[in-house]
Amino acid sequence: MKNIEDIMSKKVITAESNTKVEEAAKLLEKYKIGSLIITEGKNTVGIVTERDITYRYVAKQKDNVKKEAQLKDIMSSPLITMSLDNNPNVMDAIVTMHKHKIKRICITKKGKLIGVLAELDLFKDLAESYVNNLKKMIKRL
Amino acid sequence: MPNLINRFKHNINKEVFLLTDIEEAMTKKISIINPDASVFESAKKLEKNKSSCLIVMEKDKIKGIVTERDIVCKCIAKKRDTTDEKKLKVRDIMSSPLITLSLDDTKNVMDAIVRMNKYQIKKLGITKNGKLVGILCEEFLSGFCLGIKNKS
Repeated sequence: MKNIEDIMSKKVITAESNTKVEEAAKLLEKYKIGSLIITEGKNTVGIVTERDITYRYVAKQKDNVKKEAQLKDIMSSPLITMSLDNNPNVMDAIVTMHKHKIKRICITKKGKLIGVLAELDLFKDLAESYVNNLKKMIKRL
Repeated sequence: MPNLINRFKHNINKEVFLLTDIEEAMTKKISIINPDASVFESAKKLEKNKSSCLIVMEKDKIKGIVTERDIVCKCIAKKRDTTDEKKLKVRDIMSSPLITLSLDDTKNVMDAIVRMNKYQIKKLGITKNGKLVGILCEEFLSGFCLGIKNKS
């Protein structure tokens, strides 16, 4: 099995917590991603996904939600992270994600954010090896 | 949706394997919306049903699908008014047509993934005898399919 660093996405897009929701939506579109890591200065404080924007901003537009809502108003916080310092494996990551009922986990190394691991990335990696194994089997036949 | 962590508790030091039955992995709960509804209404429905997509239906005909991503990228990123259906309707932002896969052709999740990759989509309509019976969502697929097996 591959290790976390090989599978995780190293393309981490961050936004300050006082960014407007509309600006965040632009970032999601521009970078073709589903979530943004929210920062306050040097600290990572939360995460905003397409779902957060839909459920907590668009669906609330008639309940006097501020038109100028900022990411800190809709983000999921705190950010669940996992450190690579103790050499966790992919299984540890899956267990942690399910414990917290999340689909993405932030990966840190020596206190620095270095990537995001999505359940989907894990799955794609497994599906890939599954297909490769099938191909090998077919060749042997 | 089967809960992976429960499977984990009993099988912690074992090997991961893939479950591959489309019918088990898909969600059979299909929420629908009228193409003339406002985007606000669709977001409200998504939140209420805790779902990530709605099937757009007009007179028993499937017109398309509207997802969280459609709402975020086509409305919010473009600063369009989502509350007034006269200005912006679900019809204007939906993804159309709905890409489907028939259970009459295959039952294997791998075929569904190949189709999703081909069209670069994250939701796939699943049909049986020409009728929509479920939706396969990439985000749930991963949680469902990561199973555990004894090392042999």
